[in-house]
Amino acid sequence: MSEKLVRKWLLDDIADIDCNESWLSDLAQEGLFLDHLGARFAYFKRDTPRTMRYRFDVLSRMLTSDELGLYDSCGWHFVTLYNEVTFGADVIYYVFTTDENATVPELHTDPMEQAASLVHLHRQSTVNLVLMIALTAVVVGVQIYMTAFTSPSTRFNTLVYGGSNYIWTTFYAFYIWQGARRYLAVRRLRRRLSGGQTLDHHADYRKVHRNGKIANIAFWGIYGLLLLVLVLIGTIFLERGTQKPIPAELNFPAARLAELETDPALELSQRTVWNHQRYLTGAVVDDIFEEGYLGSKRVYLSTTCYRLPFAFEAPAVLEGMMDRYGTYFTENAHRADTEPFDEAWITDATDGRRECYLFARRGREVWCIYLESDTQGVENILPLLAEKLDG
Amino acid sequence: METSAPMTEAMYYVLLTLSVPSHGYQLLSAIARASRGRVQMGPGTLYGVLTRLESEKMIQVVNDDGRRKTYEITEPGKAALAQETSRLQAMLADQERWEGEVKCLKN
Repeated sequence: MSEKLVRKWLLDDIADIDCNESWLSDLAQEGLFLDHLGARFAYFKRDTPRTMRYRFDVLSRMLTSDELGLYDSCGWHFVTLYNEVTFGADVIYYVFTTDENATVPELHTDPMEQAASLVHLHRQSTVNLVLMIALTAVVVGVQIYMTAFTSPSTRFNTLVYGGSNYIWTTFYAFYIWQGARRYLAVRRLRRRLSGGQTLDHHADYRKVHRNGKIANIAFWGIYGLLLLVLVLIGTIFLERGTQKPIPAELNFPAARLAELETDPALELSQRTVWNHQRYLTGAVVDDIFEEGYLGSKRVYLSTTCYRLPFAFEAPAVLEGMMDRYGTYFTENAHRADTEPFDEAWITDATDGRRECYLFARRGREVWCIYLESDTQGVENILPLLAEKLDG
Repeated sequence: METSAPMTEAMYYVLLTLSVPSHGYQLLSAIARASRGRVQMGPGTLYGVLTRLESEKMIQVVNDDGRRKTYEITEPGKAALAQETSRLQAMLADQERWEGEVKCLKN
């Protein structure tokens, strides 16, 4: 019959060995005896409470059965090991136990030698921390570069759609904190041992555990929330390409095809698509695509409205959108600033083309409007849009 | 003359007792015997020292049957041990001479 194990969250870094020894001894007094260690949890067997001593031995190689036998004959019974492989270097944590009252020599009888045994762990913790900081600096640097110094189109994509970067930044920040915690723990242990002091096997771990609990809850909470938002966006909000009924009142400012062409019949067009999307960057993007016929002539109007979290992002998004439409637009565009817009650009239908574009921004809102019509120019949309804004 | 850092007590006794090839069990009892019971080395310390001395080529494995390793001291190990013994003897001689001088000054 398999024994049911009790799982406990590892709130302290495994390398903080004096605190972990103290914690395991306290749990033994409550009747919980370590069975094995995982990456984030420790597993315990229940038994009669006893006072036990636990000791960690940090090695860079596996012990042979004969060597384990020697520990046993010295009164230190093997409990479990945890093998940590990071960047190709093995650090193996062996856990031994003995009865509190057993008259056995300590596992480590020479503090200087124990300090030397932590050199490998110290090197590993330093390399880990430096690599995590470097990796995060690269990721954040790339993000800053893409937001500030790249082409307008890339800036546009980063500002509007680049939300997943926030998840990765949160992820890296947590691992930097973990790396720093380990580095400081190992440095503290080595300093103490190098000074000739033995480890305090009854070290107070409660403050470390409390901080660990807060950091873990904060990280997994934020991370979980971001993932949930990402899933929600993926399953609920992203509906591009699906045709759905247009609400009675649009929840974003847009001129309608029927208003522009002053033909109420166009309002009943069956070829209308409306989308509403949110992104992790905080951008909300609404689209409406309307198509109809005036006699035998096709008319088409599409409006995309980007509502950004901050007004300072709007000029870059406007520039990025203009850049996406390529040289035709930029070569034929002219400014058409009118109240209440901060900036507006228009391309006229020229050289036999029916297509016209309008790009405008006001505050944190940016519009991209595309029109195909023989009767109306895209400049006629600006007053209609202004009315909606005033309304 | 090249000088190395002072040895820890554990390192000194391991090198000293490995003049006779030994495995872990034999080493622990040899160290206790050599120090007349003063040094009771823990197994964690013993294997830490053995691993370090082996990587520094002061000791070597002379027999490894996959279960048990037998170690012995190497020539660099012997030289380091002799140097450390000289250093300790010099310290003791200094201490005796100094105490003698202090006694003379007091008289």
